[in-house]
Amino acid sequence: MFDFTNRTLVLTGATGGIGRAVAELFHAAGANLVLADLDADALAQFSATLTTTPTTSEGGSVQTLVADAASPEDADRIVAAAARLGGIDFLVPCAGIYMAEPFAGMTDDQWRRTLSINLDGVFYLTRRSVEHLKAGSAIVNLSSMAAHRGAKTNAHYGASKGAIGAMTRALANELAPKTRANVVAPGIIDTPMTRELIATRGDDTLKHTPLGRTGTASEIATVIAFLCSPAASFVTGETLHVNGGLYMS
Amino acid sequence: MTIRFDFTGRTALVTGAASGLGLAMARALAGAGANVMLFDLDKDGGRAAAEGLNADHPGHARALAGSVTDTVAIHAACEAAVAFGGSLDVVMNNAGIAAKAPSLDLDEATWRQTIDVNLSGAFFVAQAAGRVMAAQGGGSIVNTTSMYGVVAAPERAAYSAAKAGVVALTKVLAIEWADRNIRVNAIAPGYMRTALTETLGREGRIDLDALTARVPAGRLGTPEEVASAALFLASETSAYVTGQTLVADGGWSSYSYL
Repeated sequence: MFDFTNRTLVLTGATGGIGRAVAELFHAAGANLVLADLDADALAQFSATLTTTPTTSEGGSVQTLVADAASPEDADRIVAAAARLGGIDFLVPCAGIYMAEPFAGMTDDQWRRTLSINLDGVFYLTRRSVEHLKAGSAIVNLSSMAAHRGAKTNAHYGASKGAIGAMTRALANELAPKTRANVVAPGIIDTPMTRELIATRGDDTLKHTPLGRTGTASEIATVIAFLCSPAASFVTGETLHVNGGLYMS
Repeated sequence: MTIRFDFTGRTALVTGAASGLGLAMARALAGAGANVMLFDLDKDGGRAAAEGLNADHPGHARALAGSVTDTVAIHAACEAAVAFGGSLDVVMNNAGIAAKAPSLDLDEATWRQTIDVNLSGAFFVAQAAGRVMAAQGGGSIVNTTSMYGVVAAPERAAYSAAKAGVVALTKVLAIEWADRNIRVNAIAPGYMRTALTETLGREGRIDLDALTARVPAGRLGTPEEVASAALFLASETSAYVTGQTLVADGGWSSYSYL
């Protein structure tokens, strides 16, 4: 469905649930991938699977970097790798963490770690990427329904994801017309990050989800690919909610 | 770099299909393999549009004249679509009229007509199509709202109220029909460069330069790129998206003037 031949994707959190689906989809569409993740073993294994997977096109290159999404130095290394490929077409920072914790008991470390990966890291990576973003490029940031609706154990996560929306709207204005910047706000998606949440709260949540099921990582990846594609050429500064209807119920 | 939607074997109804965004939607759907029933008040325009589509995609377009304020005609359009392609899988619920007047002077007839076409028309088309889709086991409806259904501008009381009504209607129908496998979403265009806006610009009724300067993207949209975003909503690519309004306005509504 998508053809991203000769386009370069920079993706963090590449072995996470959504990151993996994004990498697979863009690889199948022929893009060159610069994949970053903290987990060296998982990254090596995933990269090996990707490069042996047949693609519909000639197939782009796959480069991996073991990197901490919260580190400005690692962001520099990721961008430098993309720059060597001639610049960035798509920037999709997928690295993110969610540690359920009621507000009163939230430690400084939980707060800071969440903000540093989910928000600071996106800032470091994007700031360094700006000069390497090509004409017609696209940024897709990952927010969450938690940015728009409250819950009992996600103040740090909701704050980080709300900030992503505001930052992206600023970027959309600042980087137009060369680069579009949009946000995808997933609801409950079946990934390793949400496994515990689904186990404890899943039934109750699904009762309020009009489509009556959790989403899949590939259903987020296709929306990200749409926002990167020319079909979305006039869409910038927007948030696309992908939640099976839960957000409005 | 391309994206290609595949609507082969699907049947679509597009209202307001004779020109502008509706025509771009119909063309994109026919190009993606759909059989397209064009519905428009403008009989000659609709017929010419269908002929144009059939020239490029033989046998993929038919036209029916009628108004979205006439429930008998709406019903006929849905039946004609099913007779054409065997099902009704996609509806681009797009027919609408523009209205701009100072609210202190807005006359009753204009208010009522704007609500009647843009909001009530959208509901009755969705209702008629929803009945067909529920009976056949599913479908996808894309309502055309406007960025002025999301953000506001002066002198659009009737238009903005109608279009915001379509945003709310989209959410209600999405929740209500989710278990019928019918997705309902909305596309909210900003200013587009169409024959209508070109004419309004020439006549001095809108200032195209000022509007262009206001858009972060630095240009007005094209009907083709708004149609492509609408096709995304109609397609399986957005299988988990329902009740949503996708704004395609070059950044207009995200801009805070700062």
